[in-house]
Amino acid sequence: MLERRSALAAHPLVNPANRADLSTAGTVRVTLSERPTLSILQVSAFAQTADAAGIYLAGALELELPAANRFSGDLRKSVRAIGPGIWQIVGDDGAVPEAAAIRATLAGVATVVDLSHARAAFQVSGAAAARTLAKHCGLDLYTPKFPTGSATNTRFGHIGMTLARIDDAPTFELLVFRGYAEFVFESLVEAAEEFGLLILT
Amino acid sequence: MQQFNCPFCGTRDQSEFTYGREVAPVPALDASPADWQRFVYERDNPCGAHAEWWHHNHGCRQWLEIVRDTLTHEVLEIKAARRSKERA
Ligand SMILES: [Zn+2]
Repeated sequence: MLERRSALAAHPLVNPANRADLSTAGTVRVTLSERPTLSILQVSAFAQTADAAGIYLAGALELELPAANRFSGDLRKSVRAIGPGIWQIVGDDGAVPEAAAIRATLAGVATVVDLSHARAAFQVSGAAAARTLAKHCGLDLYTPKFPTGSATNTRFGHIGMTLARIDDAPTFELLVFRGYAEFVFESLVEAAEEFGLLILT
Repeated sequence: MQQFNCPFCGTRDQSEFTYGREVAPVPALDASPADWQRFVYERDNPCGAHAEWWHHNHGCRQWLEIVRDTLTHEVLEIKAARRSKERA
């Protein structure tokens, strides 16, 4: 397996010395962090095989199959239903099976693509996390419409992202195209600054 | 903003979708140039109900069939364009 690297490795704000002016003297309402070592597999079934693929997949992962735009599991290993017959398996290296193993399990019913190196993952957490994201995302992110356990594809500015709400802090997890990682990180910093931002890197 | 009620994702901003084209049977690969001309370039452009393909590209990534009133923007019908299992 290729070594996982932070998508922000070259970004100056990753060094705390370079963000002294992002002072957290006031109340921290948003915490921002990157999760550089996620394993992400995308499973796409055919229209005729989506039901079978879902059953095999849930069995292989030992997780319940989530309803549309929901996830099951936890941070260590989760499966997200992001389209009809389309799931993303997201979690820690080691907890998420190898792509080849899932591919063998789903042979003939679904394709499996390893996106681990194609995405960057961010967590935005805290009382003002939804207000921060609302500057770049048109979804209603408040509890009744987007409760913990939600996971969906939507927009961040002009790019697509997979957004999940993983706890009641609330903490949102963003998966974005890795080439846009610095753009997303800087946009989040700028959006969160007025609420009191703590960057964890 | 105009919103569409995606059958998979629920109500989403129109900016998550991309317009494809009006719904029409796709000609066979060996159809005549005249048939392809009609399919690719010619539009009825009605005032009123119009059946359209839209792609939910920033959502479930499915193609949808939407019947939209071109005068009022009212969505009269919305469904997945993919055929279901009985086609298999
Ligand atoms: Zn959709």
